[in-house]
Amino acid sequence: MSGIVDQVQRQKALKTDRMTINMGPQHPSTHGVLRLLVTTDGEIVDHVEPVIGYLHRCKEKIAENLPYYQFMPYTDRLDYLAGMNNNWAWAMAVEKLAGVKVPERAEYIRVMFGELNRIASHLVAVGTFGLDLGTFTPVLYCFHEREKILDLFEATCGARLTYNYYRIGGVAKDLPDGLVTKIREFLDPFEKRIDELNTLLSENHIFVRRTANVGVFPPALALDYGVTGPSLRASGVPHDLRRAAPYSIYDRFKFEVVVGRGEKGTVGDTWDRYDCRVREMSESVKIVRQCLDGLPDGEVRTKLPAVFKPPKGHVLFKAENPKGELGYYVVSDGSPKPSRVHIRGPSFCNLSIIPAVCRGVMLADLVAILGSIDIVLGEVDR
Amino acid sequence: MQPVTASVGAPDLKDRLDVLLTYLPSFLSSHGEIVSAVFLLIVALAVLLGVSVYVCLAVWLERKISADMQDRLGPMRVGWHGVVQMLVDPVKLALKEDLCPGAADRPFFMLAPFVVLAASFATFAVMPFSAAFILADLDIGVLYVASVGAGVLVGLVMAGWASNNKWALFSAIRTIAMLVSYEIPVGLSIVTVVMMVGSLSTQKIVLAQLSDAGMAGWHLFRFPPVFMVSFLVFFIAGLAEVNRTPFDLAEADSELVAGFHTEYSGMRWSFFFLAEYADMLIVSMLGTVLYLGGWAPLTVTRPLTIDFWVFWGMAALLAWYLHWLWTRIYLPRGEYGLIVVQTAILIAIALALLVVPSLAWFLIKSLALIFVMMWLRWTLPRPRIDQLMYLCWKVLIPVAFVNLFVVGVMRLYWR
Repeated sequence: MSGIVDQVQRQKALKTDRMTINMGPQHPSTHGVLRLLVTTDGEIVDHVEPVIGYLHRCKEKIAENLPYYQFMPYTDRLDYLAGMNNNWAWAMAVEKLAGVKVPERAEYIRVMFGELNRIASHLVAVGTFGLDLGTFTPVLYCFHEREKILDLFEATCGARLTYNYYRIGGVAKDLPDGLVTKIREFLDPFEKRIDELNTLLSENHIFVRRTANVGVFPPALALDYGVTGPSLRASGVPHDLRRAAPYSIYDRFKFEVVVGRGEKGTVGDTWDRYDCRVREMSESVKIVRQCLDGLPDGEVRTKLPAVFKPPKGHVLFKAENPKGELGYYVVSDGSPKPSRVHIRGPSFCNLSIIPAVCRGVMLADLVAILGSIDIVLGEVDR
Repeated sequence: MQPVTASVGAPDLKDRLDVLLTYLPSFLSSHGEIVSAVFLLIVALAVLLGVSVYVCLAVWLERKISADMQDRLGPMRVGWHGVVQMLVDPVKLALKEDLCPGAADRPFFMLAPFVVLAASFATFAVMPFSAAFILADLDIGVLYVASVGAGVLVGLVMAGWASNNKWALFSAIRTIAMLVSYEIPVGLSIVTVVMMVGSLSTQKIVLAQLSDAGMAGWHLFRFPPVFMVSFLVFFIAGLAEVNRTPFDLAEADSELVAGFHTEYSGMRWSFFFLAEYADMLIVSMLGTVLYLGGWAPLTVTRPLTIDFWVFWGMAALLAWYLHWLWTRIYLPRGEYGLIVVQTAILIAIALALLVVPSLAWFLIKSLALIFVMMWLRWTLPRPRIDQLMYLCWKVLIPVAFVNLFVVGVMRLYWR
């Protein structure tokens, strides 16, 4: 009892106080317009509360007022670093609803571009993570590589960020001449670039000290919060929809489901989440190579009626996006427009774990943990 | 001397001028300190101007060097390879609005940049640019640098507190913690050199390193590896002292937005910027004075000294590399003009190095250290504040103490 009294007396004499501080919506390392309401005790974070909604654009409501075809470009703007994957998930959800068959060649192209976009998305994640930790150079090396992927996309569909390339029943158009060679030209030196990145950043002593054993997500906690994607796999849970519930033609490809190994510290720490993304890039390279080797000839799109009316019913489709599981829940009443669309954004669910793991960490760790989850605010707020 | 004309009325202006001109020379000759004060003022202004020019140059260099390290071009639009950027940047800053937040502590907010700038510029007074060119060869020169340089801390804390911004306050707290801690390893490293020389005067420290053997006379190579460690401690702690990445926690952009200068704009902001680059120069110059022989030139022409081997060895390496480059890239494309220009520039640099005055040697050595600072900045991530404190108190300070002890023992038994 007297101990507590002493403590209270000391506190009164010192007059210390907690400080509530707004991190964002305008802050360099909240990756967009996220606002974190942080209560700090000096440098130590006491409590974090993410405040979201600054980028809310009524995506789900818009979907109810558009024909199925026309919602495609809106999905680009969910996780705008992985437009291809968002397109793809929407196309597959509607195809599952209406029972549309997709031509073989289109499936290969879809997997290939989905994986290329995964690489591009992870490159941004890894690069900006370095930026969060105060090193400026890796982000430019990463963007240098991403630029080449965007060039490939541009050659195919004309856009560099919001592709609108996938269609319900296939893809918009066939690959341009010579693209297969160009993709190979990109892939060959890319693995060397990853090694370079590892030397510059992953194995850097300061970097390891900043990330290892910081912000550990215990597997059970991560599952409770609905964390998916590399952030979950880093905690040692080998859950990857491409392997767990293979959609499209993923059952044909050989690749490894990357899980965190706790190489530098604990399994599921910030370094593991970073490392998982780096290693996933190599796995994606393998899948793209296999796609290129097995790319068949033929049609790239199933002809569908101009006024597309899926049968009555509802469907939930989930795909493994770079950030985690992107799910579309689509309810159809048999009309040309969906009656209800719900989008499960991986960034939104992954962000929800922040208050649980950011107690008692340093302010700089908070930035590192937030960077390691790799959120895109377009998907958090939708 | 003209006799004063007889005028009955009140003395007019001409009379007063005459009186002034009559007595001024004798007044000046009897009060020599005024003459030297005016002279010093002019020289001080020249140094101020020189440092400002250096800052503009350093900013451009930093942008180009970082661009080079990051596969970019950097500034290319204003002038040849963006050189005019050096002039355009300050003009832009001068034209910007000078903002002061409503809730800020106005007098202190306004004053802080000047305190920082004054403290960092004042330290140039004891820098020995050459054998003759030193503003004030104080007996306590090195101590003066350490103590006046610490005045920067006051300005930064003022800025952080007066901004009335929570991020700036964080930065002020970090600044106090960091600068107060890192003064110690810097001080201890300086003491090792002072113990060798037996004087605090910067000029005497340089003179003690002046030798026919050139580089071999540097303190850096005394009792290897004792002084190398000392230099390393000094340089690492110096980086933290001047808030330079990887130790730029006071203005960590990814955590504290911009730290103490979050609320500043225009010229006032640029004063912080100026002070930061001036501080870099101070640490580099101090490092050069203490360990790298100050203005003492390299004796590259004297055969078989260390300098001779290092200089001509590097020249040979460079020649070999250029030969490789030319035969593979330029010659097959017929770019003979480029080869001629490159060769001419190299020969010019080599010849210039043989005859450059000691002032230039001092600047070359200091700029080389500044390049290392830039190199580190664009390579390394930033440690956390507790790791920074760990580095200081548990690594650098013990190492510096052991070093000090070793130098003390050496000095006792090994004159």
